Amino acid sequence: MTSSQWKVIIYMLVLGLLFQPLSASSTSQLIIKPSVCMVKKLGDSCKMKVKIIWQNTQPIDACLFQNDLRLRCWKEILDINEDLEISLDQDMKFTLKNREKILAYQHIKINTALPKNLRRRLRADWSFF
Amino acid sequence: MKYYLYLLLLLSQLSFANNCEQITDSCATVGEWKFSLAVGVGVYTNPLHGGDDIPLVLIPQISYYGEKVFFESNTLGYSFFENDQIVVSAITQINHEKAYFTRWHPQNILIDTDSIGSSDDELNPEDQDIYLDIKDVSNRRWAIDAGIQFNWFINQTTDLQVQILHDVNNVYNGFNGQIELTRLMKIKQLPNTVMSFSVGTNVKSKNLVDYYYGISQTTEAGVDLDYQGKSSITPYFRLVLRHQISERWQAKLNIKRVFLDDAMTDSPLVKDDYINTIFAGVSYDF
Repeated sequence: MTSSQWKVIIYMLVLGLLFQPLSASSTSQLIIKPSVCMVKKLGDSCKMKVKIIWQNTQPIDACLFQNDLRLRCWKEILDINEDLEISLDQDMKFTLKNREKILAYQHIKINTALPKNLRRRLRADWSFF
Repeated sequence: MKYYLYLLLLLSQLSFANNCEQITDSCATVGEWKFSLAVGVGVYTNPLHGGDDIPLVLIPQISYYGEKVFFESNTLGYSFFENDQIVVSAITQINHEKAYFTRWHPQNILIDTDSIGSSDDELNPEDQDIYLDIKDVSNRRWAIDAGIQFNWFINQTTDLQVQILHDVNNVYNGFNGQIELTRLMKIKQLPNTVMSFSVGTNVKSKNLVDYYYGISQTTEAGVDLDYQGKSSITPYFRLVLRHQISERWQAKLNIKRVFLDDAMTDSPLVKDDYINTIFAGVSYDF
């Protein structure tokens, strides 16, 4: 192998290393805070205000989905830093999409309030009557 | 092998039947008093001649569950055996049979109606020798019962309860019992709504029926009737619908019907062969 051939290979490797990180880091992780919603007991629905944070290196159209429900869309957006009111009654996946392409996602969990020492009730409701 | 797997599945469900990992309507927090007040419209019908239907307007409910002790719906108990499926408790509660002989109407609380009019006004002349008004018989006493209660939590939504009780203050000197199967159901179409459906039966010993519904010429002054009580079986069903409006507010609908048997309806004191309880309203948890 000649020295010019070695040079070409080295240039290609350097160029490859330079461009690879740029394409891989084009979008950041979706952050939704808080990521846990507390309810009094299982089955109760939960409403809370969350902060949505996300960044991109290039302007892009994006929509936020709660499972299959579209919540909000942005046009030509570089970064998102917004408050949003959400409502859920079970663990949910929040996904940021560009058309059908998933850009990022995060799960929001429902937890019940402090699980103290509990026991089964031994009389039926309104059993006196 | 297949049956063994089914059995294993059934046992795995049973073993978690009594688990309370979340605060639900079937579970109580140990060591905390719970107080709620229901407001609405309802009635608890009185099957006796001259007995007032009991209006249900404002209903307070208090409950407490300790590690062993509990108080709920008029019942004070101590659970001396408990595993995932079975709880056995010693209990005491007020026998509510006397409630039918008590004058509940506000008018009867404010005015002494014993001196106004007569029970005969409400009866046909030809019925006067068959029926008896509660005002014409001697006063029945409140009884306090004590005994054993078994709870079998078949799974997370179904439970069976059995009570065997005897009065402890020498009122009727007899037994009474209850067996009740309750199933909880969630309604998918109505979020935050739980329906509880119970079927059961009350069993009353001869002595109990005789004390409250028996008539004796020797003990009832001025009465020329005799009725000796017999042991009685009165089946019932109950439907409770609860809708959680907010963290503390609930909408409630309660329907119960007790079917009285001959042992009770043969008594000259008894006019109806049923007891209905209906209530609709809202309750607030403090």
